[in-house]
Amino acid sequence: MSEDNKELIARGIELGKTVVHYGWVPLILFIGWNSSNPKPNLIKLISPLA
Amino acid sequence: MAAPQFSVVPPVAEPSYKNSLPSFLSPLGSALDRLQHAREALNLPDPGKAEDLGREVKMTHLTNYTFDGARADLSKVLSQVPAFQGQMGPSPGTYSFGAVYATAQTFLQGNVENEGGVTGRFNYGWSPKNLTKLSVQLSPTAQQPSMLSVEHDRMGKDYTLSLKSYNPSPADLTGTYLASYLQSVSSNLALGVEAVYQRPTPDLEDCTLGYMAKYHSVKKDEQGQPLKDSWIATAQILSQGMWQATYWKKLAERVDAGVDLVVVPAMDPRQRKAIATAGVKYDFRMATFRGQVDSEGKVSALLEQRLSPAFAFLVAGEMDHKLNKSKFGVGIMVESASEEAMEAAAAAQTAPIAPPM
Repeated sequence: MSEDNKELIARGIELGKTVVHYGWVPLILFIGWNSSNPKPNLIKLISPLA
Repeated sequence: MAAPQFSVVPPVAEPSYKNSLPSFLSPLGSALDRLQHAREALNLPDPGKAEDLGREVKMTHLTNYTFDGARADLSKVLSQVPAFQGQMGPSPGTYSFGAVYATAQTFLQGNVENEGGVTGRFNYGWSPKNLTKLSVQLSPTAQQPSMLSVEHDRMGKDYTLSLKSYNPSPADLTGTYLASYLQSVSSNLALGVEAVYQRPTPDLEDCTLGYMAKYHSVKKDEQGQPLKDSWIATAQILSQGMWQATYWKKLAERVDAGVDLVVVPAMDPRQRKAIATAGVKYDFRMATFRGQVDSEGKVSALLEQRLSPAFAFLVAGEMDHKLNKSKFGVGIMVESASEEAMEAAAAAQTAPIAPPM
């Protein structure tokens, strides 16, 4: 494997990490909200008191 | 009035090696089939996963449950089927927010803490026998190490195979790779082997083997709960060089007891170490009490008292007689469910789902 490809893979991994870091919890919230029946209020998702 | 239904069921070939292999390999296929039949005729029990070898003892002991200081766990059920939960947990110095989504086939969990670290888990059950798990731990900054693990479990009728890799890098194949296989050899005994291949840098390799044995007699009731007098004894030589032995027994319907012995052998006598831990767990109708004592002089106890189905109160304490130190923790667990979710669940009358774990 050439050095360029290795570099590309490393950059891809870094990008993937960033995406997962910021996107994972919102993704679960969205999937859960989207498939819940009935759909809960958005405020109820994140507020501990509502 | 419903019309009578006619359906022609095509003769379904029984899945076998002979039918799935090309015809010139049929002698091999029938030999494999005979082997398969002989194996099924033995009717060996499921040995459980290799990583769950000491699971009953771990659930009896409080090491995984205890905590220090004050803590509050709030969780909110937003939907029953599919299960969807939000969790908030302030505890001293940290605050975390998490979400869980589960169906019978998938399990997603995410957690973010106040400093920015994220942990995530994703399990997918391809079939009741095959399960793939992914988990990540991302630290708040790029300088600190992060962890990714990919795991596949195959749970056969009388064996379990699990393949794991930690931080695998496709560029230079570094990382830690682990394979373990546990096979029942009689109705009470299961034997297993585990191989760990480590490659921290491209020019440094290391491979070690570990062995395990599980001797058990567990009878279960209809709900899958073990009956009184069930017991499990395990012994393991871990690939890191540790020896571990555990014994778990259900003493009575609501009482479990477990002992655990960890030995770290070393050439140098001063580095040799052994810790024995004995613990007991009582399950009352509204409370769970765990107590344990170990050979290092630590005595600890944990009480989880449910005051109502949605509210639990926790007290944890630990005294280290050797170091003259103590830990004390109090906590609450509040579980709330939105009214709509409760109504929908009551209307649907569905059982809680068991996600692939």
